Amino acid sequence: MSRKATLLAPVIVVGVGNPMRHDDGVGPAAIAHLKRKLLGEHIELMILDGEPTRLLEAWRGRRRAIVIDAACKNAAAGSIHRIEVGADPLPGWAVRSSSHSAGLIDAVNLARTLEVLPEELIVFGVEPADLTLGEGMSDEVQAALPSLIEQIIIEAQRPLFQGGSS
Amino acid sequence: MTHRASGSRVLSTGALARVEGEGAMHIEISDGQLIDVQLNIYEPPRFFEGFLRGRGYAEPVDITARICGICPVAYQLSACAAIEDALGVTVDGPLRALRLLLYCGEWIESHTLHIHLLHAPDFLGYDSGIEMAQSHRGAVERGLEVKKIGNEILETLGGRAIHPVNVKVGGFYRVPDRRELVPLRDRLERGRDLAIEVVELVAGFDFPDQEMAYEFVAVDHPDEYPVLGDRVVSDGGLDIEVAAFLDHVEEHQVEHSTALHARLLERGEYLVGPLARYSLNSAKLAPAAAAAATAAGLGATCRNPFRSIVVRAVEVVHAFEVGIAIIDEYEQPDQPAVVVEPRAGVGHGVTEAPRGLLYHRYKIDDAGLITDAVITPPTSQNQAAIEHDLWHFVEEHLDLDDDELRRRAEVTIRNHDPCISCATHFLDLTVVRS
Repeated sequence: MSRKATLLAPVIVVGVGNPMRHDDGVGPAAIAHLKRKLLGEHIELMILDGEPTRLLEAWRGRRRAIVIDAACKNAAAGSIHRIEVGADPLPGWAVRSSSHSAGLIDAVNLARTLEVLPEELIVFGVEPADLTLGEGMSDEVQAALPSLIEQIIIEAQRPLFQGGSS
Repeated sequence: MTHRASGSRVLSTGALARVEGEGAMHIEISDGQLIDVQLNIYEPPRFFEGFLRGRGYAEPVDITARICGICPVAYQLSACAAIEDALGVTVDGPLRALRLLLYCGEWIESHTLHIHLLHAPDFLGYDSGIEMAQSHRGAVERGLEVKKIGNEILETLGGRAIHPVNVKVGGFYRVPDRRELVPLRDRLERGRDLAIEVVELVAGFDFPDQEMAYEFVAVDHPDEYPVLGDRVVSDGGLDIEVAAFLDHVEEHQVEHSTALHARLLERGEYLVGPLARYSLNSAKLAPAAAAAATAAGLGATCRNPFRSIVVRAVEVVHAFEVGIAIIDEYEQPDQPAVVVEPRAGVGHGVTEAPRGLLYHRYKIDDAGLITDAVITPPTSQNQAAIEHDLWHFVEEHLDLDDDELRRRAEVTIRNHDPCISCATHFLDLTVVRS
């Protein structure tokens, strides 16, 4: 435990989703792209399925967490929605996508209750075209990936607030 | 949400909270008589069965792991068991032990999630695990730590936290040396001690008196509390090799569900899962788990579905004990996997997923390609028994108002921890009174 804690990267980027549900795989796909970039040791990359306690454990002890998931806001497929999670509840549209549809909301609420929410939590939701069972993402979501990756890198590498708690 | 139309009342909810998945429940009452109870679940395994045809024999291990985020190891190891059966391969010794250890991690994670965030709130009077965490922070934090230790097993052996990538037909891609497992052993000891406290917590809940006449079905192993095995037994006289599973269990379609129901050809509905495993094998529990069960007031069998939370907690203690024993006896094998050669054949495999018996069957051709796949997940097998439980409950509580009837019907479903992606995808509850 303590050995890991001392090595904990202050920034974590979590791709949530299931590549076997077409565009629900956008989170894992983004992480695969990010792994090919040199982001620095202070940024950890992880793929999760959205189960709330796994998200919570991934966030625990971090200064900044960035989550990438498919998100249905009835916008054009491939649209990128950015949400900064603050004191207000997450909008329902932000998370009604993956098989654990309420996972992110539950994770935020549980982390807030247990006081382990990172200082900064930013969610990138990508509007899906297809969440049925099967492999491969739609053209629209594929086309959104370069812009998504660019935005995530800027967000991940932005300086951390000075005087943070950890 | 309540609608009134034409003198009847239709009551429905959104997705049923705190079930690992989503499905639909329909209850119909007419003139004060219960006339229908239907559980409708959506079932990805049917899709995966088709998706696997034409794939190489090595592929189902990773593909079926995607069926469920909560129990990928179950899918991987039932697939391995079936494919190794078809190819005439035996995996034993330390490789089998490592598989069992990996599976213990999954039991610990899955059960602990269900106990703390899904089921305990029912007994403590909260609408959610999050609400419960406000008043029982220590208990929830303890649960999270236990679950995390289970996850550490998966990370150590499976290569990562979700959808382990280190499992293959014949064994593993890489096996740990003894030194790598030493820190994990310390964590498992900590986990066992915490898990015993969890048993003490849940044993103190107030349980309704309800004994159900289930026929319990589980994997059988002569010496072990069942996880891996090649026989299937019941307390109704079933005692078969896994190859005969589909000779005794019939999967059939029902109009109201996209998932297949299952029944024993000889006797009808049956139950798999913790209650079945425990009732058929309580004498095989590890000593600390057996002691925890006794202290919790469990007898040799348990037919009260509400007390399944205690059985799950006992199984978590058992999984830690088994894990510790495996690490103590572990000798690194010379090779991480047995050599496997493709050949034509049919193979059957069963393992005990956290929610119960998970059966796979594959037909493989000369080139090693899958020509047919059958996957029978535990929640599908339990659908009829869950409907039976609901019928029993609703019939005795018709006087409850719709909100309370819905709440307690949800508890009745949650007793069996139906799995989201294994067998269900949405769960709306509808009560029709006319």
